[in-house]
Amino acid sequence: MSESHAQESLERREREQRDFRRRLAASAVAHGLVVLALAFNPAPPARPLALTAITVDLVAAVPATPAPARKAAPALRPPPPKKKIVLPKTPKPLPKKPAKVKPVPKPKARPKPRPPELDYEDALDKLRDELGEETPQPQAVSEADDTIEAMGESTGSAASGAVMDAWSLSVSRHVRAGYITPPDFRGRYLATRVCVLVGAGGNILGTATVGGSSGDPFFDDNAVRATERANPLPPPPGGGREVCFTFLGDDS
Amino acid sequence: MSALARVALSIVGLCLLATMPAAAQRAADIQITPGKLRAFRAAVQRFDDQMTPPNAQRADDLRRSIHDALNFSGVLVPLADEAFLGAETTRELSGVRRTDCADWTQSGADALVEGRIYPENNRLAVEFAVWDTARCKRLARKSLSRVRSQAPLLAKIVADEIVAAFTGIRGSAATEIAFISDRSGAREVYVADADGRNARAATRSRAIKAFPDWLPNGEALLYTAYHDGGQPGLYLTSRGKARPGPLLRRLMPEIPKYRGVFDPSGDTLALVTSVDASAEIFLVRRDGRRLRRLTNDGGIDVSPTWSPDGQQICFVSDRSGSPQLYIVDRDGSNLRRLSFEGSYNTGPSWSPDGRWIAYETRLEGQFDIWLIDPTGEVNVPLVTHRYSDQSPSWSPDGRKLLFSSNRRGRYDLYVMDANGENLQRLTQRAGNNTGPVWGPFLR
Repeated sequence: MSESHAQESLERREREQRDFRRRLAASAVAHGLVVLALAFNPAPPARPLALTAITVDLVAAVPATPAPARKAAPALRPPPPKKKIVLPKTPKPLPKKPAKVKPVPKPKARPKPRPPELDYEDALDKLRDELGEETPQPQAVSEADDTIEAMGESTGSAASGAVMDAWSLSVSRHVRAGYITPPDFRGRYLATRVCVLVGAGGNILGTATVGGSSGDPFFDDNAVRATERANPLPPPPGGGREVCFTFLGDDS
Repeated sequence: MSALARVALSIVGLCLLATMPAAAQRAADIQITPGKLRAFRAAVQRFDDQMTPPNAQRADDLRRSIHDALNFSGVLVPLADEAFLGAETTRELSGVRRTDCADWTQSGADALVEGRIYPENNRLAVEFAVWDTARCKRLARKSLSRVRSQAPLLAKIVADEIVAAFTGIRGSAATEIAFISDRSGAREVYVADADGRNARAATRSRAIKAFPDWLPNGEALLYTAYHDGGQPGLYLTSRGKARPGPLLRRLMPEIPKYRGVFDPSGDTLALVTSVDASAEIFLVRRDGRRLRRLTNDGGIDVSPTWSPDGQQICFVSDRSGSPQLYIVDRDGSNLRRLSFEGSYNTGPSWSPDGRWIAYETRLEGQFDIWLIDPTGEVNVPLVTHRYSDQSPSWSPDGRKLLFSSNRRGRYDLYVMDANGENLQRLTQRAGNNTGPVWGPFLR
């Protein structure tokens, strides 16, 4: 490299450094002016806030861990020669005290899987119900495998018709055992509809209400009495539900 | 559980259910047909005796009488003392709420009766409450009084009110029956309590009496008397405002009057009398006015019984060749034959609820009691026996039937539930007792 070239390079670098310093000084002056302006200027008028409340549904986050494995559904096989109705295991009836609503657990980064509990299935179902989730269904079932026995082991809110039928039958027998019908009511074409809320353990929540009167208040009262007397009912498959009875005065 | 807590629990339950998937909440209605027939069980506490001086025996006697009357009702039966989990004696009448319902349901009691006895103008008064233990709800709270000598009647009235609290229809323990008995040597009209006790003669003329019938308010009895050599006539025996003595004497004095039956209002009589050597039925006011012929044929028309609304009459006629039941409207229209089975049907008695007509039918030389509905579609035997069961009469609550039977040789009175159960004999070793008729509710 020649000396003239080196001199040009030095001069160019000095020019660039001067330019940079000028720009830096200009920038500093400009920022200082802005700061001064802000320091001496009054605050701008506040924006009017929208006062309309917005209602949102707050949904607690669910632990990221997958749900513990449910009891394995029985292998789906062709129906045995003799069909046998297998009812789902009945959870323990709840205590008579009103069920307290348990707070939803706070989400944790890596929650440890909880130890299995006796009423775990119920708790899980309740949680699913509260979240509006569908209970996981068994894997694709062919028509041949959709037997009473197979469905009997599947618990959850979507209990099969057969399981519900079996439960309805047991409830019917249970309520009928306490349905005292004096001769006054017998043989009369009376019907009263009584509805109750049944908890997962079978306890009637609150009071029974007449959903359809027979026209005879004493017949209606007797239907409500029979319903209350039947408390607790057999635990419904798939958790709590509303159940309605039609009490008849005639068994024909 | 308090009502407030139950309401709160209902709201919580509704909220919980509202969060469930709709499909999980609904199910088809479950039909409940009548179960095994049994009575409600009532835990009757010993009433708190607030009389001066207090008498423990009085409270015990009252309670025992209530028990007897409940047993008679067939609707409720007393709970045994041994089953009590709550207090046997009322200490103080509860308010609108109570907290021990669970104890009583655990005892097996469907009803709880608490009460007190107190003086009221030198009378015996009771105040009592009836609770439905399953619903923990007070069904009734009443005060009643009677003269002190009528303590047993007071207990029966209490029992009848307990029945009413559960069914809407009073029991019939506090009512009376009338019948014909020859226990004194002559056929006289007798009156007794509904359970057969306290029988006493209502007539004492030694003329032959037949067909007693109650004035609907219970203040008088109408009956037919055959005096020596005279025509049969109608007579009243009264304990109220009605004047005792012959009735309709000036009406067709030369014509025999076989029988009179008051309509439900008590103003009009269905009168069985004889015209052209044939018994016919007329309607006439009690004062003899507005005589109107109801039946008009060559046969014998007898044994009228009114429908509970007073708009129809069922009677017996042999116009077809054998005694059969017929129904006709009060104005004489709409005559139709009711019974077609059997060759001898008579003695009809229309039930207070209008659903049934009890009657006697002759089978193999003896009478059984059957029930037929006013359309004639249902006709079923109720009392069958190899001896005769006759003259059925309904209790005013429609739950029981009273009749006479010679199943023990003489004619005795029996009562049974309208479903054919709980047969009881009311008369004991006292001549022949026939033609019973059940009186109205006490007013």
